[in-house]
Parts: sequence; structure tokens; C-alpha cells
Amino acid sequence: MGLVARELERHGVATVSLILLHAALREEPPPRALWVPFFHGYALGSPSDPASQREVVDAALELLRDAEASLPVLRDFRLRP
Amino acid sequence: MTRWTRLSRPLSECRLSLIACSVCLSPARGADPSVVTGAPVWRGVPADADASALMRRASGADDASAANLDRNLAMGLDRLREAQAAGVVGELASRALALGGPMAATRPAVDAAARQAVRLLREDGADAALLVPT
Repeated sequence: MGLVARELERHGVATVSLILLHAALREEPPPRALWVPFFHGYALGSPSDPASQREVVDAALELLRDAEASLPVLRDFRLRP
Repeated sequence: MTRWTRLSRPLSECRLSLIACSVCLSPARGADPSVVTGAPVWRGVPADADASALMRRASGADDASAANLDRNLAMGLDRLREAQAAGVVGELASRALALGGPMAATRPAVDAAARQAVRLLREDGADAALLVPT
């Protein structure tokens, strides 16, 4: 997905990527990445838990909204206690 | 040097596209025999699709059972619609993109998929995209 993100960025589309593995950032880091502490297949977290899924989406979108962030940026996601 | 794009206006005024790496199929289209293993093909899923009705099949080594419990884990359509309703996002692109079929993890295949995604998002007038892995 890193390459897809970079190509989109090159053509004027701002991107934010969820990532499951920090290793995914080594070769082609996307400009904005939110690492989520979930297993493969669970990128948005827990099944049938809309509130926590929404936290993930909101955290990702916040990276898009931050116009001052130095890019590339990686943020680690933590569920609210 | 990599060129990064920053939004030229608030996200609340932008059109957002969803790009998912999992194989989610719109029930209206069903299985597509034209999707060939190793071919980087994106499928369009209507952004107003009922997430619970999306069909999904496994891609690679991921756990297909997760998204079968809740399709939003793979596509997040309901969550993005909520973000739109809350005014966080201006609007959603009319379709989300889902990678349609196992893709060879080779640079040419990934490059082709990236170029396709650019073309499709341009058609959709997307300002921004959320990329969700499987």
C-alpha cells in the first residue's frame, strides 16, 4: 500500500494509511501512517464495536487534517482507556 | 525527492476515497471470473453499499474470519459514513476500491495497481484517500 499511497500523492491526492506492521514502512513509507495494534484482518480493531472502530478512523483522518505535520509521519494508535 | 500532497482546503470540504486491500465484493456484482490471480485489479464498491451485505473471501494469509464477522474491519464504510455525517469529511467518493484478487507482490504488479488507483480516484474526483490493509 505504500507504493499506492506514494503514487496517489504524486498525483495530488493526499493519503493516510493504516498499517499493521512497522516493517511495512521500511522500503516505501507512506506520507501519513497510523500503526494499529491489531492482527491481520482486523485493521479497524474489534468486530461489532463501532465506537472503537470509529476511534481508529478518526485518528487516521486527524493525520490528514494536520496541515502542519512534518512528512512522512507515523503515529501509533492507542484505544482510549 | 518524494512529492507529498497536503489538502488545499479543510477535510470537511474534501472528497475522501476508501482503498482497501481486502477482497470485498459488492453483492450486486458477485464473483468476477475475469479477475485473474496475479492481476492487479481494483473493484469498485458503491460507497452507499450495505457493509453487512458485502461478500468477502480470503486474500493471502490474512484471517478471513475477521471481516466475515464484521465487514467494517476490512472496508470501514459505516465508520466513514458516520464521519461524513459528523462533518469530519466533506463527502465520500461514490465508490470505494477493493483489491480484487490475489496480487503478485512484484514491483511491476504493484506499480500497475498504483497507476490504476490514480486513474480511478481521478475519475472520482477524490481529494484524499484512506488506505486500509488486510
